[in-house]
Amino acid sequence: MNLMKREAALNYVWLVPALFPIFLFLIYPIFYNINLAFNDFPKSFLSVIEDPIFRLALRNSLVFALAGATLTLVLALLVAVIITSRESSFGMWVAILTLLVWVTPEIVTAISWNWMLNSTFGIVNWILIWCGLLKTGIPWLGDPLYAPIIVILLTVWRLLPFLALLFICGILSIPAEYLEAARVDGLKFRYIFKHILFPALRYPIIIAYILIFVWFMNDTAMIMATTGGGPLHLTETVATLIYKTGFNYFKFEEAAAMSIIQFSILLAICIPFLLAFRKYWWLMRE
Amino acid sequence: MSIQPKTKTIYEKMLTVGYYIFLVILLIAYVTPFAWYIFNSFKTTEEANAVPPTIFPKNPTLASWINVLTGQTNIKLPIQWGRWMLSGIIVSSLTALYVTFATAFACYAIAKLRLKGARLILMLILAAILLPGPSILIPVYIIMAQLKLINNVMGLILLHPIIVLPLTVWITISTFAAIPDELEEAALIDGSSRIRTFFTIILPSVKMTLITTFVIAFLISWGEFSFSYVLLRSWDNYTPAIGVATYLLEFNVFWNEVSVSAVIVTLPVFVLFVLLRKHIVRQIFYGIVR
Repeated sequence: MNLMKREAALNYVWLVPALFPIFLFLIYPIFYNINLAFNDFPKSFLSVIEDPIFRLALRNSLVFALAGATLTLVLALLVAVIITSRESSFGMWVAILTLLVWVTPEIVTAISWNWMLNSTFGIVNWILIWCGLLKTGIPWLGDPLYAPIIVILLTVWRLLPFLALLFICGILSIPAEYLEAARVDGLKFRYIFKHILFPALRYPIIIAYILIFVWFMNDTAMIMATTGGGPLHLTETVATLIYKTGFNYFKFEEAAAMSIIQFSILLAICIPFLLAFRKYWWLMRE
Repeated sequence: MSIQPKTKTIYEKMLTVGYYIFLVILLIAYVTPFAWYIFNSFKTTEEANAVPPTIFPKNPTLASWINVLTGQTNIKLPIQWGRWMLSGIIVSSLTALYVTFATAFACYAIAKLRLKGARLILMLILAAILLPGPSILIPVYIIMAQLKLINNVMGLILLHPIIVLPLTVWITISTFAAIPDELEEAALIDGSSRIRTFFTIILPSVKMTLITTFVIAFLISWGEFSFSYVLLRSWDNYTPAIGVATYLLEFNVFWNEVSVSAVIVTLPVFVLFVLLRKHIVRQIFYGIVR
């Protein structure tokens, strides 16, 4: 009996290498942040909450994440449905090729776009001028109206292939007979989507939406290398502001207070994410 | 049996044409930024900054490649691609090695051993997919300072697993759950220890999954920006991603040389991805969908 207990306890040792970084760099930092921000409670919290730039950044974070994740989701579903609409190896090839954007260091693609969108020698402006759509170049990344839209679109562009391939794999894992039967019966696409595609994609959609939402909130490379948060903080997010507050202005307490606010939002988002994973429980035996 | 006429209707033909036009547009949207800096790496500094810009280099030259690779760059600063690539390869390989084994151990324990509280542990790991990011930047910086690992690539090797590991556990666990029990039972009955069985029976049976996990971990570590940018403070210790970022953010005049840097950083990613694309796609996406 004792021997079995010892063996059962030893089995947990298998988890140590995976749990070590989580405890050192996730659990411990949470408490560290709380300790740091509550050091002079409520001074740093109040100064953060009363800071108009932080309020703007918080609004931007949520708007960017909501708009960006929704747009990515809709476009990815569209791409997935179109690509799987016929059996074409070229379609699959294109879908896999686009994933290259997701594995390429984000900073590199951000730099390339920064340059292509430059107001004077950027290729995007010149193509638009050649096509006769523009008279003079637009400073896409410095314009108060366009900059936030461009930043959202660039991140949508970067995350779209991941989602599209996820949905393509979801659609391809539906038994072919279902779709064949629906087609033979001449069902309208609306019914196929509602009764065959959507049920199969329900979990991927929930999980992907949350993932993309969080990636938007945590993203720094794309904004830092394109707009740098400007113009007038219109593309500033909590993520970039934590960065600047901590490492440009060295106000660690305020940055910690911002981190706690950001973290609480992410934690709230975690709950539906984890609930969506209930289907994974069969993988474990307790 | 089909009762429809064999000849395609105009409507169907238009659908086919539309399908391929759609694919080509998608292709252009995703290839352009890469093509842009590949072309520009072969331009002269004047042409790279020309107004209006050219798409293809008029007089292709290797000048910027030679400048960057020999360190004789137009900006008189220590550009050391050899050193940065070495740092990057060390950080990403060691991170990937740790992550691969830690993932295998954890997935085996959660999917195969009867652990009390396995669900709770998996939930903790899955939650860690969402949580690391700028919100832990300040504490991570302070922890690294206490460990004297600021401006040291060892610090990145310690840190990167938290960014990669939750994702790899997520996409790998279903592979481990699918390993039949009979596989290890026979060996265990013969008196082989659990650890020995794990290494001689379990791991070889999922070899390709482990290689793919290694490559995915390598790629994510290779491109990691937010933390490295704060933790690496001097030119000597940069990783390639930080090298190219600094080049842009501080000296964005020599676009042809920035382009060369971008190509250098992307090249290993291209090679690994092209070699293992089918496995990577299968493991990530069927791992999530399943």
